[in-house]
Amino acid sequence: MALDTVQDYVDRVRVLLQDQVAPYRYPTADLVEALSEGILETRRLRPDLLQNYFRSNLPDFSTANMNQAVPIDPQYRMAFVYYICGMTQLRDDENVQDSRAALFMNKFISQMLTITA
Amino acid sequence: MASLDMNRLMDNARIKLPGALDGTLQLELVNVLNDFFAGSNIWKEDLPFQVTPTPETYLEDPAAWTYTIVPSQGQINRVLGVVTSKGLPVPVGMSIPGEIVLARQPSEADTYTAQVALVLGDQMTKEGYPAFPEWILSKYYNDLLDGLLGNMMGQLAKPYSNPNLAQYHLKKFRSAVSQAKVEAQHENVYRGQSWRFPQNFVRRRFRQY
Repeated sequence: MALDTVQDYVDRVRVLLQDQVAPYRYPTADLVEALSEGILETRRLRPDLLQNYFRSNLPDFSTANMNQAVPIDPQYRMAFVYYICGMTQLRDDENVQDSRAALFMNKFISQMLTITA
Repeated sequence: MASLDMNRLMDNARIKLPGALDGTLQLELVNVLNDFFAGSNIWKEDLPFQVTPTPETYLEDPAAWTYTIVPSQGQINRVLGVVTSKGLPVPVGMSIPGEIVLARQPSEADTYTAQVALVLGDQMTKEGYPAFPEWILSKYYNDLLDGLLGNMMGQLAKPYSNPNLAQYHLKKFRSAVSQAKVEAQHENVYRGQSWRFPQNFVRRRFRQY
């Protein structure tokens, strides 16, 4: 899976969340929203990843266009998968352990900022 | 297609800077090249321009004393010298790059030649690399790579950030800039002299207005 489009990210995240059978535990809209928030967080941590958007609005995603391309360098696409998982796991849910949410969020940050992540 | 040297430079940088983006490398390469060109005067061009005498003083008609020169590539950083058609040096000023102001009026119409040092302009290759003479990249390949690695490793909070290595590479780069400056002065002639015949013209001192 190349992680090119919004749909690719949602599919990949559902594997990690073990939420691949409809009706889904985590709504698609929430996952897509987390992807958009990941872009905002990336603008803060690694502005170079979004240097094409310095003079325009940052990309925003919605369920209306699941085939929209996510303009992230291939080296950092997995970090976004971890970010979406982390944001999803942060919610108060009986299926979720806090440590798992922290693990995903830390994985996202360390992949953005260090080599050995 | 980018030149072989440019591809090699980028590949070396990609390997030595894990996690770096091509766009960031290209952006930083522009900074490195401009530092290199501005510090060394290695990129030069001779630009002829026609001069005509005027009876007006500079304060009466500044435009009559001012001549605009445009390089074929890049942009002018400083003027290294101006000579008449007979090779005699002419005192000039250039407060605004590209606008040469004569310190003295010519006695007759003539073609002067200004030798200028250039830095990068807005021209880019279709691959997004800055346009500059290929021989410079070929000759100073390792030095430019040092500059690029140093600038990249000096960035804050990146996977490839490394202040110690940045210092090491930038020290080598700064030394290369100095060496290139000397080589540019000597026109790449080993133990060459920095003046051209006749020497006494170069030794002349003109009072700038």
